[in-house]
Amino acid sequence: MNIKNRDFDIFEALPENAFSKYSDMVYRLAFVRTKSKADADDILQEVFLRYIKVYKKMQSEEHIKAMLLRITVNCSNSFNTSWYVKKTEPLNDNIAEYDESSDGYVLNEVLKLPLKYRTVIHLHYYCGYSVEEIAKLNNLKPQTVKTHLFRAREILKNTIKADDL
Amino acid sequence: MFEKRYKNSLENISADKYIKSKVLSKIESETEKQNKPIKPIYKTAIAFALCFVLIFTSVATISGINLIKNNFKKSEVNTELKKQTNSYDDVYGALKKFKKSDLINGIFPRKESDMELYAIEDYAADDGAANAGGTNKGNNTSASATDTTANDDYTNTNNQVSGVEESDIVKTDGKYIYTLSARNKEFRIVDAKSLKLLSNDFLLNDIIGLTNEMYLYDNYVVFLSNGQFGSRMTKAVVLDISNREKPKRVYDLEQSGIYVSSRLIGNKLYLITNYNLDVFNIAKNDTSTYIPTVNCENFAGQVKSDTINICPNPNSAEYTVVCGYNITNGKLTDTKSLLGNSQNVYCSTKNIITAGYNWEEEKTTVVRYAISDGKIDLKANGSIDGDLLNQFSIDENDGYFRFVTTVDKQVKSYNDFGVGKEIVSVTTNRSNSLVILDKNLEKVGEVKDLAPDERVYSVRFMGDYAYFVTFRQTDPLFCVELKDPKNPKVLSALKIPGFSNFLFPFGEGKLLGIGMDADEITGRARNVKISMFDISNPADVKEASKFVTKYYYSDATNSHKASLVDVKRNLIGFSAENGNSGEYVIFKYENGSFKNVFSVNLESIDNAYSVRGICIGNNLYIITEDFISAYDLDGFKLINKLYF
Repeated sequence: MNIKNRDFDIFEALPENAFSKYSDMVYRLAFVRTKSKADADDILQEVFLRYIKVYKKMQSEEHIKAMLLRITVNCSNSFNTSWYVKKTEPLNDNIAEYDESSDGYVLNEVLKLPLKYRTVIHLHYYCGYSVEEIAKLNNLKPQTVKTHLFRAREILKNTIKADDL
Repeated sequence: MFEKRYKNSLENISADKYIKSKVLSKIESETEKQNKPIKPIYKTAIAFALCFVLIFTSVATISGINLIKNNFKKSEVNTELKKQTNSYDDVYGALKKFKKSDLINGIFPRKESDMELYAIEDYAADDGAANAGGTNKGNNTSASATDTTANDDYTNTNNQVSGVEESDIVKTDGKYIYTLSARNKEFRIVDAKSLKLLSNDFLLNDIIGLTNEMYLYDNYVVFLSNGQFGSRMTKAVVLDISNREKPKRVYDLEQSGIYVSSRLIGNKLYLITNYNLDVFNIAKNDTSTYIPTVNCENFAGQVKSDTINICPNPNSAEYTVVCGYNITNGKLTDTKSLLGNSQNVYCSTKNIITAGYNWEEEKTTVVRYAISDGKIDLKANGSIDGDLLNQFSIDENDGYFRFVTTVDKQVKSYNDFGVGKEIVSVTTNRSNSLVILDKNLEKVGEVKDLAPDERVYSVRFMGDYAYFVTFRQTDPLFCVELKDPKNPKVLSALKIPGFSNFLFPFGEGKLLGIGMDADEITGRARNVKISMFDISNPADVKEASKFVTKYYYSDATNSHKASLVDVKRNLIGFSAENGNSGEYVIFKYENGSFKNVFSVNLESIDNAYSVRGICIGNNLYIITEDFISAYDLDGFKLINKLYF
């Protein structure tokens, strides 16, 4: 993560611009973490409202991205511990049934993983972060992330017959 | 490989355009606020305001915690129905239990002006004078005895129980056709022979906007309406139509609550409403805040306390209000209120069964009222597992009451990776069952665990047999023998693609199903379909024939009243639409197969809804909101057409 970049223009960090560029990325992480589109909608808004407070300090493109992902993890953490989530049951209507060959099946299997495992899988395979970067982003030790990744892969290997995990 | 597939699968996951634009505008306004410097004068003011907010929220959270605790306290379960309350105080006491715990119900603000208690006549003993009706002539209950020129051979509303009239938007007595158009806010009377518009009435402007349906009895027409927007009274307005050219509004009957269902037996109207209470604003001294009101010719004000009953474990702060009226003189014959709501109503000539689902317990509360000539007696209550589909899920035969239910049981599975337990998935175990209760609504016999993971799509009870369809990907039609109520037996289960929404008996040994055709693999519904089942041998039910139409939607799959099923004339008719046009189609069932004998374009796709077809003599009438057209049944030639 190269945070400092002298050629970086603060214009890129404006919340509106960041939104148009990264809203999908934030939304997808929020969806993977909450398993619900409606909740992801809420988190999307909350993330950018929090981002408004810090956007002036941004130093590079990579910095914005990492900051947004960090806020998303934080937001969905506080969301997952809220009364609303604890006391209600999700409808699970976002999850359709797919056969094994389709791509949707992979997503379904990832969503079935426990929260911390699917976060790590998402950050590693979708956002392309390394173990150290994920550790920094999640406030964890690199070894912990490694363990999570290992266990998640073990589960996924059994469910999706993927050999390149 | 995994990486690529995972990225592809997330491709479709993104926020709605609408939500994105909403969030974006919010971000823009917030950024602007952020960049605006705060004037120093306001800073102290904000500090003070913050102090207040802090104190206020801390108080609120403490009381909030109490609220939550109360919500999860298990309410006491009494098994006995509390028969009749002695005073309004009993009702108040029962409602007080709701006050803090019931957060969902009662949030609707109460706008109604307080009703004053007028002098109450002794309405219960008043009925003797007007006992004219009650003679049922099979299917044609509304046939007028005074009119000798009327053609007796006509089709009526597709009622569930013969002799018990159900409301509809089109009625006929063989001579005149009465139609109600909610869209155009009109009530029309048309001479069937000449298709002449006799009257086009706007008298009901104050109620007709939300009018659902109507009844016809002799020289009276009854409209049912939820009343004005925001009002929580259901109204029934009686018109005297002895002069067909000048209908006269004679009685206004009104009762608290939202319309659930109604039936007409003879000249007695039974009206059932759900009265939702604003539990936060109940005052002990102000009985109008928690007692239902009824207004009619001989009664005005709140119902008496001895007519109110309290369900042992009410599912919400709602009353089921059941009233009987004599529509020929506009008088109340009886009223009963029960704390606890109801969604499905079945009515035979002797009993009314109301059923309300309790989400918490996954059970249906069933209440039986005995009715005779306007008198309503609360006889028994009970509860069965699962939820009912519609009024056809309930049946009465020989003193036994039969129910077909879909039972959902939630099962949570936990996974304890690492620290703490995490709910991995919540699965619903679903199955279907048929339950038989006796007259005290106690269980006599049942068949359980039919068709796991499917739900009931249609039910029809026919004497000793029950037929019902469940569906997920294919459509099993079950036939259950009920000859011995203690020991019901599943005789056969026929699996075919698609499902039927309604089942109608169609002559000897035949059962007609109207529903949708579905993809065998995905279970997705495609086109409107009609099937004929051969039930002559209950142990071996067969699909004798089926016809998949080119239409995507039909009202007939939504309401049993929308289809014309005439066994005598061998006609099956309904309106349907295929995306850009609406048509009315007529089928005949001949030599073991369906024949599409007639279909006519309804001019506009809007006309594909609320269409009724009726037969009078040898004519077929198609009634839409905009026109009536008459056809000859031999050859289906257009005879006449009337635009409103």
